[in-house]
This record gives sequence, structure tokens and C-alpha cells, in this order.
Amino acid sequence: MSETLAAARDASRPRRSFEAGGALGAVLVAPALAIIGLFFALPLGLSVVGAFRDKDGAYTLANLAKAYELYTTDFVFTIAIVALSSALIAAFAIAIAGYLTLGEHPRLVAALRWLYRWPLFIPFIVAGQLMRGFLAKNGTLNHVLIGSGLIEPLTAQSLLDWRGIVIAFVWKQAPFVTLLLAGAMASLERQHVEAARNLGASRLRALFEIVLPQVKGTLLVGIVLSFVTMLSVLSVPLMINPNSPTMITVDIAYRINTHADYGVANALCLASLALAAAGAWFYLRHAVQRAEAATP
Amino acid sequence: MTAAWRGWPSTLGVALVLGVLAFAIFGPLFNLVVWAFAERWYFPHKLPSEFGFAFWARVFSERGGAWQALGTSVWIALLTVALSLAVAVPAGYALARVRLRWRGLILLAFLLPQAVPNLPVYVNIARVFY
Repeated sequence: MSETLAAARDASRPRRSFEAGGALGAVLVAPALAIIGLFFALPLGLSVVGAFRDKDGAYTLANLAKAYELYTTDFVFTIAIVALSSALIAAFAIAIAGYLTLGEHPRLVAALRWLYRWPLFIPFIVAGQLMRGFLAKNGTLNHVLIGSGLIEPLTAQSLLDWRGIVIAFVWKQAPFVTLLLAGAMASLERQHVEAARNLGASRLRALFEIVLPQVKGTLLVGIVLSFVTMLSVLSVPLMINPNSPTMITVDIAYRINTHADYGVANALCLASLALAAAGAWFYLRHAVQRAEAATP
Repeated sequence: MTAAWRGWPSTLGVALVLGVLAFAIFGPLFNLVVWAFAERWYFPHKLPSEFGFAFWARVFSERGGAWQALGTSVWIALLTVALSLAVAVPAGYALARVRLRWRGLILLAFLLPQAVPNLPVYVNIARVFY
């Protein structure tokens, strides 16, 4: 009995092949690292350097100055939209994942679990087109609101402005963060929640005081990934709200397609990199705090 | 039985919220399907007055070029998945099973593309290749 248990335990534990270390590891990892170096690190470096060079190759700050002069409004617009979307995504993810973990009606929990994942499989550009039909003045949303008597036909308004962009982002990204969060919540130990419930805590209180603090790291990872993804989407703002003010990705595309102005385009890219770095800094600070708390 | 009946207002509330969520998720998709097959649709009407395949014929005609575009998209996607798997599976195996000297640094290198907006990369890849 104990030998089979020991054998089973050994089989399930991953083994490191120490004899073939070094060279084999390098050979296996080299292609992936080469691809990252050539197709990611190199263009990124070119982008950062290109922001400071003009058409003749001389180093200058003129690109940054021009980008600042022309696109500050759009930059602030971008920050506001992505921040608002991230907050809404976090709220929806916590609500849905919380109900999946703490819900007490098995059929409703199963229905929710089936329902929330659908937008995951839809590309951003298709989501943009979906929202163009759904949020327009004569779109499905207004049809349903008018048909159910909630609004008058004359007061129907088109949501195809900054609100449409936020809705499209939240619609597409919330299921992703919910998936991460629900997985993290499912792997928690039930006894903490059950102890709290036995002592009389409501489910909402158990969610915010027992479950959420334990999955904060996963939530932060999901939000930072969504933040970075939303910063690089071109299709959604282009389809829903291409007029000024718009997101800086549209400005980058415009600079390249219309003016072939790689200098200012790279300056704008540098700005979005700085924004993403700010988001990543939040995550790193949390990760470092956790690592420091873990070490005795 | 009695416990379930006692909680029926909350059950109804949750079911209502689920209904709204289902509308939020499937509403746009339903709208897309209706628009794809609509041939004539004017404002006050809730549904198109004529359904048909007229626009499908136009898109998939010889001049439309949709077949080539679709084929190119599918080909690029399949090639990307195949090449990514070919490169990532050995790397994953190495990170999990083989002793690597700079494991932490290599992991960071793999995670970095996820943490950075990719538009700057696309912009300059075009410059590298053209």
C-alpha cells in the first residue's frame, strides 16, 4: 500500500533532468528567445530611438514637441477611457466571479458560467462592428428600450462616442478578467468562507473581506493585462469614434498612413509605452510587497 | 422545498440580472445576424422588411475579393499558431523540466511582450521588412 502511494507521489512530482541541464535547456529556449529578440525587442528599440530622430536621422526633440502640441487632448482622452474601462471591468469581473463562487442557486450559477464567456471568442474588430449596430440611434439597444416603453422614440440617442468605446472594451475584456478571477477564487479553501458564513457574515461581506483579499494579485494581473491590451487597440476607436477627440492609436495610424511621419508616430508610441509602464508599475509594486511579506 | 420557496425574491432578482446580462451579450450578436441577412430596413420597424442573400452574393462575388481575404486570414492564423507552438513547446518544457541558469530572466523576457502595447512593435516591424 505504502509503496504504491510512494510510486504515485514520485510519478506526479516533476523531475528536473540535472544531467542534461545547461546545453539542452539553452537549445530548447533559444528559438523562442530569438523570435522575441528579433520581432519584439528590436522593433520596440527602433520605436524608442525613432521618437528622437527626424527625417535626416539627426537626434532631436521636435517629434515629442509636435506630438505634445497636437495630441495632448487625445492622450488625456485615452487615459480617461482606458482607466474608466479598467474600473468597470474590475467591477463586473468581481460581481460575476463572486456570484460563481458564492452563489446558492446551482442552476443560475451554471447558466451564468455558460453565459459570461461568449465575448471571449470575438476579435476586437468584430466587437467594434457589433457595437456600431447595437449602439446606433436606430440600433438594437434603442429598439428594445423604445419597444419596452423605457424611453420615447424622440429621446433615443446614439452611443457611438466615448461611451461606445468604453462599452466595447468592457464587453470584450470583462469575460477575460472574470475567467482569471473565477479560477483564482475556485482554488481558494472553502473553510474560510464557511467559517465567516457560520459566524453570520452576509455573502457580500464574505466576498469583500474573505475572498477578494486573497485573489487581489490575480485581479491586478488581469486588470493590468486588459489595460495594456486596450492601449494598443486600433480597430475599436477607429470604427466607433474616429472624430476628435479620439484615442492615440488612431493618431498613430493617421500619422503613418497620411503623412508617413514615423517620427511623431514613434513619439506617440513612446507615450503609450510610458502609460503602459505606469500600469505595470502598479503590478510590480504589489508583487514586490507580496514577496517581501512572504519572506520572514 | 420550503427553503427554496423562502428565497424566491432573490432568485427572481438574480434571474432578472442574468436576463439583462444575456441581452447585453447576445443582443449585439443577434443584431449582427439580422443585419447580415437584411435587405431592406427602415427606422421605426423593429425588424427588416426584406430578408435575403443579396449582400452575401455581392461580397463573395468574383470582384469582391472576400474569398482571397478570408483565405489569407485563415492561412496567416494557422501558420502563426503552428510556428508559435513549434517554438513555445520546447521552451515551455525547458522552463518546467530542465535546469536553466537564468530561469527568472528568461521568464521575464517571455512575459514582457504581454505587458507592452504592441502598436509600436507593429509600426516598426513594417519598417524593418519594407
